[in-house]
Amino acid sequence: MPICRLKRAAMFWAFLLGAWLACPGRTEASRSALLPDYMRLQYAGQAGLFSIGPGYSWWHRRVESGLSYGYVPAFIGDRNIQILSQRNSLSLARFHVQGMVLEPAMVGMATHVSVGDKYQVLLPKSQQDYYWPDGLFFWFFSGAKVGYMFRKPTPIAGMAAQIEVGTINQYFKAYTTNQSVTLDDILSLAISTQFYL
Amino acid sequence: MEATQSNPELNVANLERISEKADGPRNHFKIAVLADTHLWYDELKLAVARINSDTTLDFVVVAGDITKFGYADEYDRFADIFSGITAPSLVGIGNHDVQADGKTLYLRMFGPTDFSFTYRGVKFIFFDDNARGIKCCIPDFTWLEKELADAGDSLRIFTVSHAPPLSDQLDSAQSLRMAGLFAKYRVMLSIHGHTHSYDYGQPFGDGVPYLVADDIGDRNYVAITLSDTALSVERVFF
Repeated sequence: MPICRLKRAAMFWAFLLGAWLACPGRTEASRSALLPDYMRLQYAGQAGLFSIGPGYSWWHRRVESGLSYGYVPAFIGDRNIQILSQRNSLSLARFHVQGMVLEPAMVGMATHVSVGDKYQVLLPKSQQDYYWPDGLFFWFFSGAKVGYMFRKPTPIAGMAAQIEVGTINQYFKAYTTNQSVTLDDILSLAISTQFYL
Repeated sequence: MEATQSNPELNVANLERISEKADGPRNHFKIAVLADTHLWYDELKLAVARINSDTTLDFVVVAGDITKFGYADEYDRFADIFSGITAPSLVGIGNHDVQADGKTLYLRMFGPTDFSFTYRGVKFIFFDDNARGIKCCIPDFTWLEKELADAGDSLRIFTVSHAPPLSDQLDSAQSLRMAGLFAKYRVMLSIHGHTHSYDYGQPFGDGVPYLVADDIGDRNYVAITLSDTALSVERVFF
């Protein structure tokens, strides 16, 4: 059964990747355009203690979408937990200040999948009306980013640092159903660095 | 209390508190039973306040499902609120509590899932019967029958497990086996939660009463009073 679930998870991600590469604008692009636009390293944010992964940008890097692999070591999570994520963000405002790019208002959402035989993502039909799959959660966030694009040609086109505050759907449910649960109880912080390629 | 950190096992600690009062009059006590607290933290706080107002309670039983997803944050939040209860409390494990890493968190926070103790002439047997999707050994019928048999003729028996027989957590063979054991050893009361609706009756017609506590979201719990041979079950709304 665990192998079946792993297979299904692999097929799910392979499908996402295939659909991604086949989308208009990608098929017409040059080979280099298939390479990711950035690599992202994140701390916390329900994506793992640390997570890393590639992503693509549109609209002058205002819209970004990426995948990541995250890891929670056993000394924090009782067991080694691996998390695959698909993340999307939109920058609502942008300012250029002394060569820096400031984006003070970003919003986004990520889908996190905990992999392994301990977690369920696809529930049997008989359980779908009763359980929420414990390996699947959504991270909703808002944040701010500051970036710098290098003027001289370098292996890395630019860098950005981002801070965001968010919560997952399960915690949000607790917040909406209890007056005694405050935003402070459910929000957590994530810090990340992006390297533009 | 944080499930993610090392804690004393709360059930074990509370059993010590309960044992200090165990020498009282035989077959006389009053306990409160609540179940399925899930994400109803506001209601749980009200329940704690209401339970604390009843100074005649000997101890409090939670018949499982203190979480919705089995997350550490939920265990911590429950323990934080429930630490305000003044009477000793014992928490059983529910099917939601074993999701994700929930069982590990339960074992760390509360101690073993299957345990028993004797209080004023009654043997209480708590056990894990969240068997849905589990291939082996839940419920642990070998352990359960030994505990039931060990009560002998001198002790009455109360059992506590989250899911009642004939619920989705137990297949029909498991349900009938459990009910058969309870009848064989003349269980005085079988206490459960899980169904989110109150019920008190004898579904098998074998003389064994089954009590199912409502979920805490409906703002009620059950007070059970044993007075010699008389067993009183009363719903307490708050």
